[in-house]
Amino acid sequence: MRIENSQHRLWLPAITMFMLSLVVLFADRREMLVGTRSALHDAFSPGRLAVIAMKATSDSGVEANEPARSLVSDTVDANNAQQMKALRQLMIENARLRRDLKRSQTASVIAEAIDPAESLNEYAMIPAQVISSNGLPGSLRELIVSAGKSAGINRSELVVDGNGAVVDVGSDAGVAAGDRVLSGSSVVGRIEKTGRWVSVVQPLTSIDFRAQVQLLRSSEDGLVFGAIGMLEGTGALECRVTGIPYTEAVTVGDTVISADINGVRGPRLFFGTVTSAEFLAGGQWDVRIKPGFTVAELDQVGIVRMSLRPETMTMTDSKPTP
Amino acid sequence: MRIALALAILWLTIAVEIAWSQSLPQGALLLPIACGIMFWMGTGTGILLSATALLIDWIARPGFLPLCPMLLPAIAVCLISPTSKSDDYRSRRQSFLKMMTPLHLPLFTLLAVGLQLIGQMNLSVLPTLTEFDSAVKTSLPSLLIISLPISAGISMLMRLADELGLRRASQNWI
Repeated sequence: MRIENSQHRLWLPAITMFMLSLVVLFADRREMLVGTRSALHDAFSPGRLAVIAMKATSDSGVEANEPARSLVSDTVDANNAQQMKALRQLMIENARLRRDLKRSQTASVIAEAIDPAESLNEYAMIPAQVISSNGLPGSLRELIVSAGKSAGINRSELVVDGNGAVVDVGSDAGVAAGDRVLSGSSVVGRIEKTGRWVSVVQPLTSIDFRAQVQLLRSSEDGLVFGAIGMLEGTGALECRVTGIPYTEAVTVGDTVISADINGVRGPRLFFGTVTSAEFLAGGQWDVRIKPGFTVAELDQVGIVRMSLRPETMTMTDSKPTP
Repeated sequence: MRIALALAILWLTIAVEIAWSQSLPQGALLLPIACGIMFWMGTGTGILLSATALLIDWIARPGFLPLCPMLLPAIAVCLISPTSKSDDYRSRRQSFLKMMTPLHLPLFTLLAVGLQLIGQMNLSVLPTLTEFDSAVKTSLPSLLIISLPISAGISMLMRLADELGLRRASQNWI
């Protein structure tokens, strides 16, 4: 009798958990767990941050011991040769980067001259790690990244991929300074909700995602900026662009870049490539876009933050002396 | 006290897994530890705590189905519930299940790993044999290489605790 009672007492939590799991599954399918998910990640963040901090401390300790070990190792010469080779490659890369930076700076100066308002703004990319991605490949619904209010993240900021995938046209493709084509990362989505340590990202394939975009086409005369439209997520792997009248030219293979960032002109970010374009009955194009990022590659992302340049703020603060 | 300790261990395990999500496969630490807590405590509370941790982990990092929190508690109950059948002491014969007792936890963890893998597969469309094969070949070894040694360690620790009388008599190799 006692054994039976004991068995019943064990079955009760098992049945409870089965039912609770079913309820949670139902709530997840109805997308009712977005808030809970970000709250849970926030609850785990103190432990997660402590683990990361401990790992960083131990790594720095290992790095400090490494030179001493390498002195006694027999493969010093081989390592040195490899390092010299790596150094040479880095020097070449550095020279290339300096050249690109110079070109980019010239381009920025011209861009600022064309759009004076842009000189007030400054863009920074806050790196973040993807902690969790909800949904299976092909139906990504949301991402949770390791940056929140504590890192100054606000709602609706654009999230780009961390690999720095650039627009497929750059200096190598003959684009000269002043063309106002700035290399940018692929847009992954937008910050939907921020917690203290984590943020929920709404991917650009999400059905509620909206962003103003512009078409970019390469022609014999160089790069041509095309029509401006509204990019909308479809809930599937592709997106669509609406609001482009049939009088505008749209071609399969056109690049889709950001027209603005939260209403302000900023760096051009890559959204995707046009995969199909058909006429709609309402005199508009139905343009389908393949996003520029791959879900499988998303482990590091960057959050684009816009802020006022400190020097411009100083200028506004200064008052004329009587 | 034991409940608080179990809660702290489970919370820290999930935090470690999330912190090292790039290098640790999902469930590699949590599954053996949750299974270990179920077996160590051997009570309804232990089952409830571990299954809740598994469910919370699924909410935080969802897959297709939460099979582990759904089914593991029931399987655990079958393994740890006290039986009314007694061994035949006169012939000194033990039941086969009782002889296999030290292997219960690693086998249970193996089952949990299997459920985890199935739960993460997209079952809305029937997976082909090649998809299943590739999932097993890529995810299973990396999960098992971490979870099975941990499970074996916990199993040995339980045996040691039994020998030293650190676990209550009612929970000894249930």
